[in-house]
Amino acid sequence: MSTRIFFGIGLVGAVLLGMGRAQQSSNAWPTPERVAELVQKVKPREPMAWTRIPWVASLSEARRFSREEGVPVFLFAHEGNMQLGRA
Amino acid sequence: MRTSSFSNERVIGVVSRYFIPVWLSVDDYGTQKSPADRAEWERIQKAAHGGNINVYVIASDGTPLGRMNVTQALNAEKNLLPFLDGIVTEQKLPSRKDAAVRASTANFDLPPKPHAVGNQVFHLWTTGERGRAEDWFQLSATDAASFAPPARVMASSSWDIPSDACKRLFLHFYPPTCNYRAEKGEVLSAELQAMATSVTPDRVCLVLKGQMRLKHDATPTGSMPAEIRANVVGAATFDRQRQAFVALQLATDHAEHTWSWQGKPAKTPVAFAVELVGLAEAK
Repeated sequence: MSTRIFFGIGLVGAVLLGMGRAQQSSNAWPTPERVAELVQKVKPREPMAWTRIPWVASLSEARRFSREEGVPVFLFAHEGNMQLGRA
Repeated sequence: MRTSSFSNERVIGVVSRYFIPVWLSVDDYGTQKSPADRAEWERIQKAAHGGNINVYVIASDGTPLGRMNVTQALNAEKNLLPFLDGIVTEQKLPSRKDAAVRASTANFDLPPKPHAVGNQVFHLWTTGERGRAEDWFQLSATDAASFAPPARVMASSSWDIPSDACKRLFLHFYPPTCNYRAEKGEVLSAELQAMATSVTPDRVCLVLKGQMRLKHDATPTGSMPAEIRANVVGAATFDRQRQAFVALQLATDHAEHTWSWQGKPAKTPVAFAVELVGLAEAK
């Protein structure tokens, strides 16, 4: 019985300690190193793959190059913007 | 498409070798189409009996050779590659010459226009269920100045960043989604505190911490209510002579995207990172 009580007290204590630590970590001031580490996790190391496609500046330009080279246009019509935005 | 088909190596190869690739935003988000582009776009749509959000292939004489809805084109291996390979084979397309590809490739300005002169420009990256995306946004000179330390700041002193400036910042903390217009969001709460970590006559180094909650529907039609909650941390260097930040980084330290579709709730992790690019200049 006493073992159970001690185990229970220990468990409650551990949970409270853990909550305290979680609270502390969300309230603590960050270090610049920690901020840089979090930024690096999200920021891509290389330009995004789609930027390797040799996109032409405008539809009119694409049609002109198409006529000159005899090559079809691949047109991606979309909402938003390929460079900025998140669509 | 950026994080699915346009990141597929075979799609990149086929599109680059056999076609003249171009994108067109149907709503001029961040760009303006010329009247010539607009007229040509309308002609293509009519000729191909196509909609706004499609992939089109147009022959050199202007005849549409095929089109595919983007929801299908998102699947490179199953849909887009067989579609493109079929056109390459059927039309017996030759590979483009390297010099021609180089000559036609555009040099896009990054960050994209337009930016108001004097505003502070920020680069934002975000990852979420739909992959990774990047964006740029700007804060007015007044909002940016409200992040500055007080004139008589001392090391270890802290201060609150005005809530209105935080709100305008956190409007941009939404993940890759179909609803890409920041102004459609509503910041429910925005808190940021700053603390000076070192102070010299020239510079103040500071760290930031806070929380934000943003309501931002995942669709332009408002059919998928969503909310982003995040703890935010940051670090910055302020130049006291120039009265301007020379470096500023922000990142989320645990962020969640909760949304519901047809009454079913869901929760997915998201992350955001922001870096100061600098003052917007006249272009």
